[in-house]
Amino acid sequence: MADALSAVVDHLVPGRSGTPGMAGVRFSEIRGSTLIQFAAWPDSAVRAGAEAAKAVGAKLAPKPGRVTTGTDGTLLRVEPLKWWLISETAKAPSLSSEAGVALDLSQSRTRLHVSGRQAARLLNHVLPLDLSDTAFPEGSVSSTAFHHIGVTLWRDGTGFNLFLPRSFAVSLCEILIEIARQYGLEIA
Amino acid sequence: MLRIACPFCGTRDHSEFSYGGDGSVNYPALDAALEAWHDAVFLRDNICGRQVETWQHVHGCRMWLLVERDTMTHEIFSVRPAHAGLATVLEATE
Repeated sequence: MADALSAVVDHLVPGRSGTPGMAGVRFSEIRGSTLIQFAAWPDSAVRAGAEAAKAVGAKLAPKPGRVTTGTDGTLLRVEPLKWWLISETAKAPSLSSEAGVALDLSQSRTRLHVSGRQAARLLNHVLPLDLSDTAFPEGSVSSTAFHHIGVTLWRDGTGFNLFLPRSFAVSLCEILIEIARQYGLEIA
Repeated sequence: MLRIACPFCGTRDHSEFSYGGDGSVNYPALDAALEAWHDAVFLRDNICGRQVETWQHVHGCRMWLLVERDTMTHEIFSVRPAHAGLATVLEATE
């Protein structure tokens, strides 16, 4: 696969902006990981989930809204019949057509990592989700709307991974940067 | 604001959903008479009270849902997947 070009490289310029002091929010674009979607048929969901878990080296497929991390990557349960495999290795897992369809979506999303003390507060300017530690703990994943655009949010150990549709990524990043300045923004 | 308890995602805001219309309509066969299609597509009861509606969680899990809602009070009585196969999937993979 050809190296992916960043959609937001001209907009996520490394540096510090906004309110001085300690940065409340940090942004970085995560590049180089692959995103493979496993989509099952209604009668093959259990089997496709098991194959997706195997592909990332995990024992079990995650429950709705949850993430499982295995030895070879992370598995997100994003829809009733869909899992997303996030991996740093480029190998594309295969899936028999009876079980479902594997599709490489790596270049369809811009993955923005948002961290810092005010990260949840910043995201709640634009996302209608309860992002408190109890309602959306580490290992949670959710698809939702950001300015009427469907986005996917996954909370890991260090912050939030926001998957933005590539063609909307510049516009959505501009909105986030504008809001983040009040908390003190650092772009890595 | 309406909040709908999606069987996959949990309770979410109205802004994530798209209204799909009356869920109780039985559509005729594709080769049925024009009148039957006219009636199914255009003639609707204007219910004041409980009705079954279809909604799509378009900015969430994208599942089509059958929502039983009171059009007067907006109270929601039940939410279930419109596709029976998906209800089975949710039970099997919970």
